[in-house]
Amino acid sequence: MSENLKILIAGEGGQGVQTIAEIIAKAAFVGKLESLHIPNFGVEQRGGVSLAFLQISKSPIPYPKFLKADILAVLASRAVGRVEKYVGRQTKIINAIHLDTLLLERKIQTTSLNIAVLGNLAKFLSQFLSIEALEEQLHVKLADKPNYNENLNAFHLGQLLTEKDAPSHLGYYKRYLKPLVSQNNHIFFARFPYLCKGCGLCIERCPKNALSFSKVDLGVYGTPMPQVDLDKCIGCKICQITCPDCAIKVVKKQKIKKN
Amino acid sequence: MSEVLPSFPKCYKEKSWPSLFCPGCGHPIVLKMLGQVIDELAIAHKSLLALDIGCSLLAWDLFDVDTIQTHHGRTVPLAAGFKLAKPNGIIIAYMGDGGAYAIGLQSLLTSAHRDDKITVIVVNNTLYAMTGGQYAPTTLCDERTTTTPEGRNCQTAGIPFPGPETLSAMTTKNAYLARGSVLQPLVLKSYLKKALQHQIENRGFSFVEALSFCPLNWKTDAAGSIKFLEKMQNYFKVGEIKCPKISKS
Ligand SMILES: Cc1ncc(C[n+]2csc(CCOP(=O)(O)OP(=O)(O)O)c2C)c(N)n1
Ligand code: SF4
Ligand code: SF4
Ligand code: SF4
Ligand SMILES: [Mg+2]
Repeated sequence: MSENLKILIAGEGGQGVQTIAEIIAKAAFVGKLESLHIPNFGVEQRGGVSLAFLQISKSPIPYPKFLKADILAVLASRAVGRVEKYVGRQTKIINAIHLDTLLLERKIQTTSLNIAVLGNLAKFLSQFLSIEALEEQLHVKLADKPNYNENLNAFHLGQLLTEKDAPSHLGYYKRYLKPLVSQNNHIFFARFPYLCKGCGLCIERCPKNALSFSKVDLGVYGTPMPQVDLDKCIGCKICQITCPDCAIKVVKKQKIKKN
Repeated sequence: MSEVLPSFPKCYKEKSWPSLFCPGCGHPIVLKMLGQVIDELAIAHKSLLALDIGCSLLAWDLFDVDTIQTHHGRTVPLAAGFKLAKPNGIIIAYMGDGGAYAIGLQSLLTSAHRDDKITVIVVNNTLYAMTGGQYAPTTLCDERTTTTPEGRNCQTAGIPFPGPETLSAMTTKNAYLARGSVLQPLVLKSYLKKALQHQIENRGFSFVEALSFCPLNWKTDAAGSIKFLEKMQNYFKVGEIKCPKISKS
Protein backbone atom coordinates (compact mmCIF):
# COMPACT_ATOMS: atom_id res chain seq x y z
CA MET A 1 0.00 0.00 0.00
CA SER A 2 1.21 3.49 -0.80
CA GLU A 3 2.45 6.24 1.49
CA ASN A 4 -0.84 8.00 1.00
CA LEU A 5 -4.07 6.17 1.82
CA LYS A 6 -7.25 7.43 0.19
CA ILE A 7 -10.43 6.40 1.97
CA LEU A 8 -14.01 7.05 0.92
CA ILE A 9 -16.86 6.39 3.34
CA ALA A 10 -20.39 6.61 1.96
CA GLY A 11 -23.80 6.33 3.53
CA GLU A 12 -26.98 8.19 4.44
CA GLY A 13 -27.02 11.41 6.40
CA GLY A 14 -27.50 10.49 10.06
CA GLN A 15 -25.58 7.21 9.83
CA GLY A 16 -22.44 8.73 11.31
CA VAL A 17 -20.29 8.62 8.19
CA GLN A 18 -18.58 11.89 9.10
CA THR A 19 -18.16 10.79 12.72
CA ILE A 20 -15.97 7.81 11.86
CA ALA A 21 -14.07 9.86 9.28
CA GLU A 22 -13.33 12.44 11.99
CA ILE A 23 -12.16 9.72 14.38
CA ILE A 24 -9.71 8.35 11.80
CA ALA A 25 -8.51 11.82 10.80
CA LYS A 26 -7.99 12.83 14.42
CA ALA A 27 -6.14 9.60 15.27
CA ALA A 28 -3.86 10.17 12.29
CA PHE A 29 -3.26 13.79 13.29
CA VAL A 30 -2.43 12.84 16.87
CA GLY A 31 -0.15 10.12 15.49
CA LYS A 32 1.82 12.83 13.62
CA LEU A 33 0.58 11.74 10.21
CA GLU A 34 -0.78 14.10 7.61
CA SER A 35 -4.55 13.83 7.48
CA LEU A 36 -7.31 15.45 5.50
CA HIS A 37 -11.06 14.96 5.80
CA ILE A 38 -13.53 16.53 3.37
CA PRO A 39 -17.20 15.97 4.18
CA ASN A 40 -19.62 16.06 1.28
CA PHE A 41 -23.39 16.08 1.77
CA GLY A 42 -26.45 17.90 0.52
CA VAL A 43 -28.81 20.27 2.27
CA GLU A 44 -30.67 17.43 3.95
CA GLN A 45 -29.96 16.86 7.65
CA ARG A 46 -31.03 13.28 7.25
CA GLY A 47 -31.80 10.96 4.37
CA GLY A 48 -29.44 12.48 1.79
CA VAL A 49 -26.26 10.78 0.68
CA SER A 50 -23.31 11.63 2.89
CA LEU A 51 -19.74 11.09 1.69
CA ALA A 52 -16.47 11.47 3.59
CA PHE A 53 -13.29 11.86 1.53
CA LEU A 54 -10.38 11.05 3.75
CA GLN A 55 -6.65 10.90 3.18
CA ILE A 56 -3.97 9.90 5.66
CA SER A 57 -0.37 10.00 4.67
CA LYS A 58 3.22 9.75 5.82
CA SER A 59 4.18 12.60 3.49
CA PRO A 60 2.42 15.87 2.64
CA ILE A 61 -0.88 15.41 0.81
CA PRO A 62 -0.55 17.17 -2.55
CA TYR A 63 -4.20 17.53 -3.49
CA PRO A 64 -7.48 17.24 -1.59
CA LYS A 65 -9.40 15.43 -4.32
CA PHE A 66 -8.76 11.92 -5.55
CA LEU A 67 -10.00 9.91 -8.53
CA LYS A 68 -9.84 6.41 -7.08
CA ALA A 69 -10.11 5.28 -3.49
CA ASP A 70 -7.77 2.75 -1.91
CA ILE A 71 -10.54 1.80 0.50
CA LEU A 72 -14.26 2.33 -0.01
CA ALA A 73 -16.76 1.64 2.77
CA VAL A 74 -20.44 1.78 1.80
CA LEU A 75 -23.12 1.88 4.51
CA ALA A 76 -26.28 2.45 2.47
CA SER A 77 -27.44 1.23 -0.93
CA ARG A 78 -28.55 4.73 -1.94
CA ALA A 79 -24.92 5.87 -1.82
CA VAL A 80 -23.67 3.23 -4.28
CA GLY A 81 -24.46 5.21 -7.42
CA ARG A 82 -22.50 8.19 -6.10
CA VAL A 83 -19.29 6.30 -5.35
CA GLU A 84 -18.95 3.69 -8.07
CA LYS A 85 -16.73 5.98 -10.09
CA TYR A 86 -14.16 6.03 -7.30
CA VAL A 87 -13.70 2.27 -7.55
CA GLY A 88 -10.46 1.37 -9.27
CA ARG A 89 -8.42 -1.75 -9.77
CA GLN A 90 -6.78 -1.44 -6.36
CA THR A 91 -9.85 -0.38 -4.39
CA LYS A 92 -10.62 -2.52 -1.36
CA ILE A 93 -14.38 -2.45 -0.87
CA ILE A 94 -16.19 -2.88 2.43
CA ASN A 95 -19.86 -3.34 1.62
CA ALA A 96 -21.67 -2.88 4.94
CA ILE A 97 -25.12 -2.31 3.47
CA HIS A 98 -26.61 -5.44 4.99
CA LEU A 99 -24.66 -5.39 8.21
CA ASP A 100 -27.65 -4.20 10.27
CA THR A 101 -29.14 -7.71 10.54
CA LEU A 102 -25.88 -9.10 11.89
CA LEU A 103 -25.71 -6.30 14.47
CA LEU A 104 -29.29 -6.90 15.61
CA GLU A 105 -28.50 -10.63 16.01
CA ARG A 106 -25.71 -9.59 18.39
CA LYS A 107 -28.13 -7.26 20.22
CA ILE A 108 -26.37 -4.16 18.96
CA GLN A 109 -28.55 -1.32 17.72
CA THR A 110 -28.09 -0.34 14.08
CA THR A 111 -27.13 3.16 15.22
CA SER A 112 -23.69 1.61 15.87
CA LEU A 113 -23.31 0.37 12.30
CA ASN A 114 -20.82 3.12 11.53
CA ILE A 115 -18.64 2.06 14.45
CA ALA A 116 -18.66 -1.55 13.26
CA VAL A 117 -17.42 -0.22 9.91
CA LEU A 118 -14.73 1.75 11.76
CA GLY A 119 -13.65 -1.50 13.44
CA ASN A 120 -13.46 -3.21 10.06
CA LEU A 121 -11.59 -0.28 8.51
CA ALA A 122 -9.04 -0.51 11.34
CA LYS A 123 -7.73 -3.75 9.84
CA PHE A 124 -6.74 -1.93 6.66
CA LEU A 125 -5.20 1.05 8.44
CA SER A 126 -2.72 -1.00 10.47
CA GLN A 127 0.28 0.34 8.53
CA PHE A 128 -0.69 3.83 9.66
CA LEU A 129 -2.72 3.52 12.85
CA SER A 130 -2.98 1.05 15.70
CA ILE A 131 -6.29 -0.26 17.01
CA GLU A 132 -5.48 1.47 20.30
CA ALA A 133 -5.02 4.86 18.63
CA LEU A 134 -8.44 4.56 17.02
CA GLU A 135 -10.06 3.33 20.21
CA GLU A 136 -8.58 6.29 22.05
CA GLN A 137 -10.22 8.74 19.64
CA LEU A 138 -13.44 6.74 19.76
CA HIS A 139 -13.36 7.34 23.49
CA VAL A 140 -12.66 11.08 23.11
CA LYS A 141 -15.50 11.45 20.65
CA LEU A 142 -18.21 9.20 22.08
CA ALA A 143 -17.47 8.26 25.72
CA ASP A 144 -20.14 10.62 27.04
CA LYS A 145 -22.85 9.11 24.85
CA PRO A 146 -25.30 6.70 26.55
CA ASN A 147 -24.64 3.89 24.03
CA TYR A 148 -20.83 3.99 24.35
CA ASN A 149 -20.53 0.36 25.46
CA GLU A 150 -22.67 -0.75 22.57
CA ASN A 151 -20.39 1.24 20.26
CA LEU A 152 -17.34 -0.46 21.77
CA ASN A 153 -18.94 -3.85 21.11
CA ALA A 154 -19.65 -2.79 17.53
CA PHE A 155 -16.01 -1.64 17.16
CA HIS A 156 -14.73 -5.05 18.28
CA LEU A 157 -17.29 -6.90 16.17
CA GLY A 158 -16.20 -4.87 13.15
CA GLN A 159 -12.65 -6.18 13.50
CA LEU A 160 -13.94 -9.74 13.22
CA LEU A 161 -16.09 -9.23 10.13
CA THR A 162 -15.38 -11.49 7.18
CA GLU A 163 -15.89 -11.23 3.44
CA LYS A 164 -19.29 -12.86 3.93
CA ASP A 165 -20.48 -10.12 6.31
CA ALA A 166 -19.08 -7.21 4.31
CA PRO A 167 -18.44 -8.34 0.74
CA SER A 168 -15.62 -6.80 -1.27
CA HIS A 169 -17.92 -5.89 -4.17
CA LEU A 170 -20.96 -3.71 -4.58
CA GLY A 171 -23.05 -6.27 -6.38
CA TYR A 172 -23.35 -4.24 -9.55
CA TYR A 173 -21.92 -7.03 -11.63
CA LYS A 174 -25.16 -8.80 -11.05
CA ARG A 175 -26.83 -7.36 -14.10
CA TYR A 176 -24.15 -9.03 -16.23
CA LEU A 177 -24.56 -12.21 -14.31
CA LYS A 178 -27.62 -13.20 -16.24
CA PRO A 179 -26.25 -14.31 -19.58
CA LEU A 180 -28.40 -16.32 -21.94
CA VAL A 181 -26.52 -19.58 -22.25
CA SER A 182 -26.75 -22.23 -24.96
CA GLN A 183 -24.48 -25.26 -24.95
CA ASN A 184 -23.89 -28.71 -26.31
CA ASN A 185 -21.07 -31.18 -25.77
CA HIS A 186 -18.55 -29.08 -27.64
CA ILE A 187 -19.48 -25.45 -27.22
CA PHE A 188 -20.53 -23.12 -24.45
CA PHE A 189 -22.14 -19.99 -25.91
CA ALA A 190 -23.14 -17.08 -23.64
CA ARG A 191 -24.87 -13.85 -24.72
CA PHE A 192 -25.17 -10.78 -22.51
CA PRO A 193 -28.34 -8.86 -23.41
CA TYR A 194 -27.18 -5.92 -21.30
CA LEU A 195 -24.26 -5.35 -23.67
CA CYS A 196 -25.73 -6.15 -27.10
CA LYS A 197 -26.66 -3.21 -29.30
CA GLY A 198 -28.04 -5.35 -32.12
CA CYS A 199 -25.52 -4.15 -34.72
CA GLY A 200 -25.44 -7.50 -36.52
CA LEU A 201 -21.66 -7.50 -37.09
CA CYS A 202 -21.34 -10.92 -35.42
CA ILE A 203 -23.97 -12.36 -37.76
CA GLU A 204 -22.17 -11.00 -40.82
CA ARG A 205 -18.73 -12.18 -39.70
CA CYS A 206 -19.68 -15.73 -38.69
CA PRO A 207 -18.04 -18.04 -41.25
CA LYS A 208 -20.61 -20.80 -40.70
CA ASN A 209 -23.84 -18.79 -40.85
CA ALA A 210 -24.55 -20.02 -37.35
CA LEU A 211 -25.99 -16.73 -36.09
CA SER A 212 -29.31 -15.04 -36.81
CA PHE A 213 -31.48 -12.45 -35.07
CA SER A 214 -33.69 -13.96 -32.41
CA LYS A 215 -37.41 -13.31 -32.47
CA VAL A 216 -37.60 -13.14 -28.67
CA ASP A 217 -34.32 -12.02 -27.07
CA LEU A 218 -33.69 -8.29 -26.93
CA GLY A 219 -30.51 -6.31 -26.31
CA VAL A 220 -29.88 -3.16 -24.28
CA TYR A 221 -31.64 -0.84 -26.76
CA GLY A 222 -34.57 -3.19 -27.31
CA THR A 223 -33.19 -4.42 -30.63
CA PRO A 224 -33.22 -8.12 -31.50
CA MET A 225 -30.21 -10.10 -30.25
CA PRO A 226 -28.42 -12.70 -32.29
CA GLN A 227 -28.91 -16.35 -31.39
CA VAL A 228 -26.71 -19.32 -32.25
CA ASP A 229 -27.44 -22.56 -34.04
CA LEU A 230 -25.11 -24.85 -32.14
CA ASP A 231 -25.25 -27.52 -34.84
CA LYS A 232 -23.55 -25.11 -37.22
CA CYS A 233 -21.21 -23.36 -34.75
CA ILE A 234 -17.57 -24.49 -34.76
CA GLY A 235 -16.50 -22.39 -31.78
CA CYS A 236 -14.09 -20.23 -33.80
CA LYS A 237 -14.82 -17.17 -31.59
CA ILE A 238 -14.90 -14.75 -34.54
CA CYS A 239 -18.23 -13.40 -33.26
CA GLN A 240 -16.76 -12.85 -29.78
CA ILE A 241 -13.68 -11.10 -31.19
CA THR A 242 -15.80 -8.93 -33.49
CA CYS A 243 -18.44 -7.83 -31.00
CA PRO A 244 -17.60 -4.21 -30.10
CA ASP A 245 -19.20 -4.40 -26.65
CA CYS A 246 -18.21 -7.91 -25.51
CA ALA A 247 -21.79 -9.23 -25.60
CA ILE A 248 -20.75 -12.75 -26.70
CA LYS A 249 -18.56 -15.31 -25.02
CA VAL A 250 -17.73 -18.62 -26.66
CA VAL A 251 -15.84 -21.41 -24.93
CA LYS A 252 -14.82 -24.55 -26.75
CA LYS A 253 -15.16 -27.43 -24.38
CA GLN A 254 -12.18 -29.73 -23.92
CA LYS A 255 -12.36 -32.68 -26.27
CA ILE A 256 -12.41 -35.94 -24.36
CA LYS A 257 -9.77 -38.13 -25.99
CA LYS A 258 -10.74 -41.71 -26.56
CA ASN A 259 -7.65 -43.82 -27.28
CA MET B 1 -18.56 -22.84 -14.50
CA SER B 2 -19.85 -20.86 -11.53
CA GLU B 3 -20.19 -17.31 -12.70
CA VAL B 4 -20.25 -16.36 -16.37
CA LEU B 5 -18.87 -12.89 -16.95
CA PRO B 6 -18.30 -11.03 -20.22
CA SER B 7 -14.82 -11.43 -21.71
CA PHE B 8 -13.80 -7.85 -20.94
CA PRO B 9 -10.11 -6.98 -20.86
CA LYS B 10 -9.00 -6.74 -17.22
CA CYS B 11 -8.19 -3.05 -17.59
CA TYR B 12 -11.78 -2.26 -18.59
CA LYS B 13 -14.01 -0.50 -16.12
CA GLU B 14 -16.92 -2.95 -16.32
CA LYS B 15 -19.34 -0.45 -14.84
CA SER B 16 -18.97 1.84 -17.87
CA TRP B 17 -20.09 -0.76 -20.41
CA PRO B 18 -21.97 -0.88 -22.72
CA SER B 19 -20.11 2.06 -24.23
CA LEU B 20 -21.66 5.21 -25.67
CA PHE B 21 -20.46 4.39 -29.20
CA CYS B 22 -23.16 3.77 -31.81
CA PRO B 23 -24.18 0.16 -32.54
CA GLY B 24 -21.64 -1.35 -34.92
CA CYS B 25 -19.01 1.36 -34.39
CA GLY B 26 -15.40 0.28 -34.94
CA HIS B 27 -13.91 2.37 -32.11
CA PRO B 28 -14.77 -0.16 -29.36
CA ILE B 29 -13.25 -2.99 -31.44
CA VAL B 30 -9.97 -1.05 -31.53
CA LEU B 31 -10.31 -0.31 -27.80
CA LYS B 32 -10.93 -3.96 -26.96
CA MET B 33 -7.74 -4.97 -28.78
CA LEU B 34 -5.88 -2.15 -27.04
CA GLY B 35 -7.27 -3.31 -23.68
CA GLN B 36 -6.08 -6.87 -24.28
CA VAL B 37 -2.61 -5.57 -25.15
CA ILE B 38 -2.49 -3.39 -22.03
CA ASP B 39 -3.37 -6.52 -20.01
CA GLU B 40 -0.82 -8.72 -21.73
CA LEU B 41 1.98 -6.19 -21.29
CA ALA B 42 0.83 -5.46 -17.70
CA ILE B 43 1.14 -1.69 -18.14
CA ALA B 44 -2.26 -0.47 -16.89
CA HIS B 45 -0.74 1.02 -13.73
CA LYS B 46 1.83 3.16 -15.55
CA SER B 47 -0.11 4.08 -18.68
CA LEU B 48 -1.84 7.32 -19.56
CA LEU B 49 -4.52 7.19 -22.21
CA ALA B 50 -4.78 10.56 -23.97
CA LEU B 51 -8.01 11.06 -25.91
CA ASP B 52 -8.53 13.51 -28.73
CA ILE B 53 -11.74 15.40 -29.44
CA GLY B 54 -14.01 13.42 -31.73
CA CYS B 55 -15.69 10.08 -31.09
CA SER B 56 -12.39 9.04 -29.45
CA LEU B 57 -13.50 10.93 -26.39
CA LEU B 58 -16.37 8.49 -25.91
CA ALA B 59 -13.62 6.19 -24.57
CA TRP B 60 -13.56 8.41 -21.50
CA ASP B 61 -14.00 6.28 -18.37
CA LEU B 62 -14.17 2.98 -20.26
CA PHE B 63 -10.76 1.95 -18.89
CA ASP B 64 -9.47 1.68 -15.39
CA VAL B 65 -6.38 3.49 -16.63
CA ASP B 66 -5.39 7.12 -16.07
CA THR B 67 -7.02 9.13 -18.85
CA ILE B 68 -6.62 12.69 -20.07
CA GLN B 69 -8.27 14.75 -22.76
CA THR B 70 -7.09 17.80 -24.61
CA HIS B 71 -7.94 20.12 -27.50
CA HIS B 72 -8.80 18.75 -30.91
CA GLY B 73 -5.63 17.60 -32.67
CA ARG B 74 -3.33 18.43 -29.74
CA THR B 75 -3.16 14.96 -28.23
CA VAL B 76 0.25 14.23 -29.80
CA PRO B 77 2.13 17.21 -28.29
CA LEU B 78 0.44 16.45 -24.97
CA ALA B 79 1.75 12.90 -25.25
CA ALA B 80 5.25 14.15 -26.09
CA GLY B 81 5.14 16.44 -23.05
CA PHE B 82 4.04 13.62 -20.78
CA LYS B 83 6.94 11.50 -22.00
CA LEU B 84 9.43 14.27 -21.29
CA ALA B 85 8.10 14.60 -17.75
CA LYS B 86 7.76 10.87 -17.13
CA PRO B 87 10.10 8.85 -19.35
CA ASN B 88 9.12 5.55 -17.71
CA GLY B 89 5.39 6.15 -18.13
CA ILE B 90 3.56 4.72 -21.13
CA ILE B 91 1.58 7.22 -23.18
CA ILE B 92 -1.09 6.25 -25.69
CA ALA B 93 -2.44 9.06 -27.89
CA TYR B 94 -5.82 7.91 -29.24
CA MET B 95 -7.33 10.06 -31.98
CA GLY B 96 -9.46 10.20 -35.11
CA ASP B 97 -8.30 10.77 -38.68
CA GLY B 98 -9.62 14.34 -38.60
CA GLY B 99 -7.72 15.14 -35.43
CA ALA B 100 -4.51 13.49 -36.63
CA TYR B 101 -4.40 14.40 -40.32
CA ALA B 102 -6.24 17.75 -40.47
CA ILE B 103 -6.14 20.07 -37.48
CA GLY B 104 -3.35 18.15 -35.71
CA LEU B 105 -1.18 17.23 -38.68
CA GLN B 106 1.62 19.65 -37.95
CA SER B 107 1.90 18.34 -34.39
CA LEU B 108 1.91 14.75 -35.59
CA LEU B 109 4.57 15.35 -38.24
CA THR B 110 6.81 17.23 -35.82
CA SER B 111 6.56 14.55 -33.18
CA ALA B 112 7.26 11.74 -35.64
CA HIS B 113 10.17 13.73 -37.08
CA ARG B 114 11.61 14.22 -33.58
CA ASP B 115 11.23 10.48 -32.96
CA ASP B 116 9.32 11.02 -29.72
CA LYS B 117 9.05 7.73 -27.85
CA ILE B 118 5.25 7.75 -27.80
CA THR B 119 2.49 5.58 -29.27
CA VAL B 120 -0.13 7.16 -31.50
CA ILE B 121 -3.28 5.29 -32.54
CA VAL B 122 -5.37 6.88 -35.29
CA VAL B 123 -8.86 5.55 -35.92
CA ASN B 124 -9.56 6.19 -39.61
CA ASN B 125 -13.25 6.22 -40.53
CA THR B 126 -12.77 8.57 -43.53
CA LEU B 127 -14.68 11.48 -42.00
CA TYR B 128 -15.40 13.76 -39.06
CA ALA B 129 -17.75 11.39 -37.31
CA MET B 130 -18.63 13.22 -34.13
CA THR B 131 -19.65 16.46 -35.83
CA GLY B 132 -21.96 14.87 -38.38
CA GLY B 133 -19.86 13.18 -41.03
CA GLN B 134 -18.04 16.02 -42.79
CA TYR B 135 -15.31 15.23 -45.29
CA ALA B 136 -11.80 14.64 -43.91
CA PRO B 137 -8.38 14.35 -45.58
CA THR B 138 -8.99 10.58 -45.60
CA THR B 139 -12.34 10.66 -47.42
CA LEU B 140 -12.18 8.24 -50.38
CA CYS B 141 -12.49 9.51 -53.95
CA ASP B 142 -16.18 9.83 -54.84
CA GLU B 143 -17.23 9.12 -51.24
CA ARG B 144 -20.34 11.08 -50.28
CA THR B 145 -20.18 12.97 -47.00
CA THR B 146 -22.33 15.80 -45.68
CA THR B 147 -19.88 18.33 -47.16
CA THR B 148 -19.17 16.40 -50.38
CA PRO B 149 -22.72 15.55 -51.40
CA GLU B 150 -21.60 14.77 -54.96
CA GLY B 151 -18.73 12.63 -53.70
CA ARG B 152 -15.15 13.75 -53.07
CA ASN B 153 -13.62 15.09 -56.25
CA CYS B 154 -10.02 13.91 -56.10
CA GLN B 155 -9.12 16.11 -59.09
CA THR B 156 -9.74 19.21 -57.03
CA ALA B 157 -9.47 17.96 -53.44
CA GLY B 158 -6.36 15.76 -53.66
CA ILE B 159 -6.02 12.10 -52.83
CA PRO B 160 -7.13 10.44 -49.58
CA PHE B 161 -4.36 11.17 -47.10
CA PRO B 162 -1.97 8.25 -46.56
CA GLY B 163 -1.00 8.68 -42.89
CA PRO B 164 1.65 6.08 -42.06
CA GLU B 165 3.12 6.28 -45.58
CA THR B 166 3.64 10.02 -45.11
CA LEU B 167 5.26 9.49 -41.74
CA SER B 168 7.48 6.83 -43.26
CA ALA B 169 9.30 9.41 -45.38
CA MET B 170 10.20 11.60 -42.45
CA THR B 171 11.00 9.19 -39.63
CA THR B 172 14.27 7.44 -38.86
CA LYS B 173 14.67 3.70 -39.14
CA ASN B 174 13.70 3.51 -35.46
CA ALA B 175 10.03 4.25 -36.02
CA TYR B 176 7.30 1.60 -36.00
CA LEU B 177 4.47 2.36 -38.43
CA ALA B 178 1.53 0.08 -39.25
CA ARG B 179 -2.00 0.08 -40.54
CA GLY B 180 -4.55 -2.43 -39.29
CA SER B 181 -8.29 -2.84 -39.68
CA VAL B 182 -11.21 -3.79 -37.45
CA LEU B 183 -12.03 -6.45 -40.04
CA GLN B 184 -8.95 -8.35 -38.77
CA PRO B 185 -8.99 -7.46 -35.07
CA LEU B 186 -6.28 -9.92 -34.05
CA VAL B 187 -3.85 -8.64 -36.68
CA LEU B 188 -4.60 -5.10 -35.52
CA LYS B 189 -3.93 -6.29 -31.98
CA SER B 190 -0.52 -7.65 -32.97
CA TYR B 191 0.39 -4.21 -34.39
CA LEU B 192 -0.82 -2.43 -31.26
CA LYS B 193 1.26 -4.80 -29.16
CA LYS B 194 4.38 -4.20 -31.23
CA ALA B 195 3.83 -0.44 -31.07
CA LEU B 196 3.54 -0.45 -27.30
CA GLN B 197 6.51 -2.80 -26.90
CA HIS B 198 8.40 -0.32 -29.06
CA GLN B 199 7.62 2.41 -26.57
CA ILE B 200 8.29 0.23 -23.50
CA GLU B 201 11.76 -0.55 -24.86
CA ASN B 202 12.27 3.11 -25.74
CA ARG B 203 13.10 2.29 -29.35
CA GLY B 204 11.36 5.15 -31.10
CA PHE B 205 8.15 6.69 -32.37
CA SER B 206 5.33 4.18 -32.81
CA PHE B 207 2.16 4.62 -34.80
CA VAL B 208 -0.82 2.44 -35.74
CA GLU B 209 -3.66 3.52 -37.97
CA ALA B 210 -6.84 1.44 -37.59
CA LEU B 211 -9.36 1.40 -40.43
CA SER B 212 -12.70 1.50 -38.66
CA PHE B 213 -16.49 1.45 -39.15
CA CYS B 214 -18.71 4.49 -38.78
CA PRO B 215 -22.15 3.07 -39.58
CA LEU B 216 -23.92 6.22 -38.39
CA ASN B 217 -22.34 8.56 -40.92
CA TRP B 218 -21.78 5.96 -43.63
CA LYS B 219 -25.48 5.12 -43.23
CA THR B 220 -24.70 1.43 -43.46
CA ASP B 221 -25.98 -1.75 -41.85
CA ALA B 222 -23.50 -4.44 -40.76
CA ALA B 223 -23.09 -5.86 -44.27
CA GLY B 224 -22.74 -2.37 -45.73
CA SER B 225 -20.12 -1.38 -43.16
CA ILE B 226 -18.03 -4.44 -43.95
CA LYS B 227 -18.33 -3.75 -47.69
CA PHE B 228 -17.25 -0.14 -47.26
CA LEU B 229 -14.30 -1.12 -45.09
CA GLU B 230 -13.19 -3.59 -47.76
CA LYS B 231 -13.29 -0.71 -50.21
CA MET B 232 -11.17 1.35 -47.84
CA GLN B 233 -8.68 -1.52 -47.64
CA ASN B 234 -8.30 -1.45 -51.43
CA TYR B 235 -6.89 2.04 -51.10
CA PHE B 236 -5.38 2.11 -47.61
CA LYS B 237 -3.14 -0.95 -47.61
CA VAL B 238 -3.11 -2.88 -44.38
CA GLY B 239 0.26 -4.03 -43.03
CA GLU B 240 3.47 -2.90 -41.38
CA ILE B 241 4.88 0.12 -43.18
CA LYS B 242 8.02 0.40 -41.08
CA CYS B 243 9.11 -2.28 -38.66
CA PRO B 244 12.67 -1.99 -37.35
CA LYS B 245 14.56 -5.23 -36.98
CA ILE B 246 15.22 -5.91 -33.34
CA SER B 247 18.70 -7.20 -32.75
CA LYS B 248 18.64 -9.80 -30.02
CA SER B 249 21.64 -9.00 -27.91
C1 LIG C 1 -10.31 23.33 -32.27
C2 LIG C 1 -11.56 22.60 -32.65
N1 LIG C 1 -12.01 22.66 -33.91
C3 LIG C 1 -13.11 21.99 -34.27
C4 LIG C 1 -13.79 21.23 -33.35
C5 LIG C 1 -15.04 20.50 -33.76
N2 LIG C 1 -14.82 19.08 -33.88
C6 LIG C 1 -15.16 18.22 -32.90
S1 LIG C 1 -14.88 16.60 -33.29
C7 LIG C 1 -14.29 17.06 -34.83
C8 LIG C 1 -13.84 16.06 -35.85
C9 LIG C 1 -13.66 14.67 -35.37
O1 LIG C 1 -13.25 13.85 -36.43
P1 LIG C 1 -12.14 12.76 -36.21
O2 LIG C 1 -10.93 13.36 -35.59
O3 LIG C 1 -11.95 12.04 -37.50
O4 LIG C 1 -12.77 11.78 -35.11
P2 LIG C 1 -14.04 10.80 -35.25
O5 LIG C 1 -15.17 11.50 -34.58
O6 LIG C 1 -14.27 10.56 -36.70
O7 LIG C 1 -13.64 9.54 -34.55
C10 LIG C 1 -14.33 18.44 -34.99
C11 LIG C 1 -13.91 19.13 -36.21
C12 LIG C 1 -13.30 21.20 -32.03
N3 LIG C 1 -13.89 20.47 -31.07
N4 LIG C 1 -12.19 21.89 -31.69
S1 SF4 D 1 -23.69 -9.53 -30.05
FE1 SF4 D 1 -22.28 -7.82 -30.37
S2 SF4 D 1 -21.77 -7.91 -32.56
FE2 SF4 D 1 -23.61 -9.15 -32.25
S3 SF4 D 1 -25.35 -7.80 -32.63
FE3 SF4 D 1 -24.94 -7.72 -30.43
S4 SF4 D 1 -23.54 -5.99 -30.17
FE4 SF4 D 1 -23.51 -6.48 -32.34
S1 SF4 E 1 -18.01 -19.16 -32.67
FE1 SF4 E 1 -17.60 -18.94 -34.87
S2 SF4 E 1 -18.98 -20.40 -35.83
FE2 SF4 E 1 -19.73 -20.11 -33.74
S3 SF4 E 1 -21.26 -18.50 -33.93
FE3 SF4 E 1 -19.32 -17.50 -33.41
S4 SF4 E 1 -18.45 -16.94 -35.38
FE4 SF4 E 1 -20.05 -18.43 -35.79
S1 SF4 F 1 -20.60 8.55 -35.07
FE1 SF4 F 1 -19.44 6.93 -36.10
S2 SF4 F 1 -17.43 6.90 -35.08
FE2 SF4 F 1 -18.84 8.06 -33.77
S3 SF4 F 1 -19.65 6.56 -32.32
FE3 SF4 F 1 -21.09 6.65 -34.01
S4 SF4 F 1 -20.41 5.04 -35.42
FE4 SF4 F 1 -18.72 5.43 -34.01
MG1 LIG G 1 -12.87 10.29 -38.21
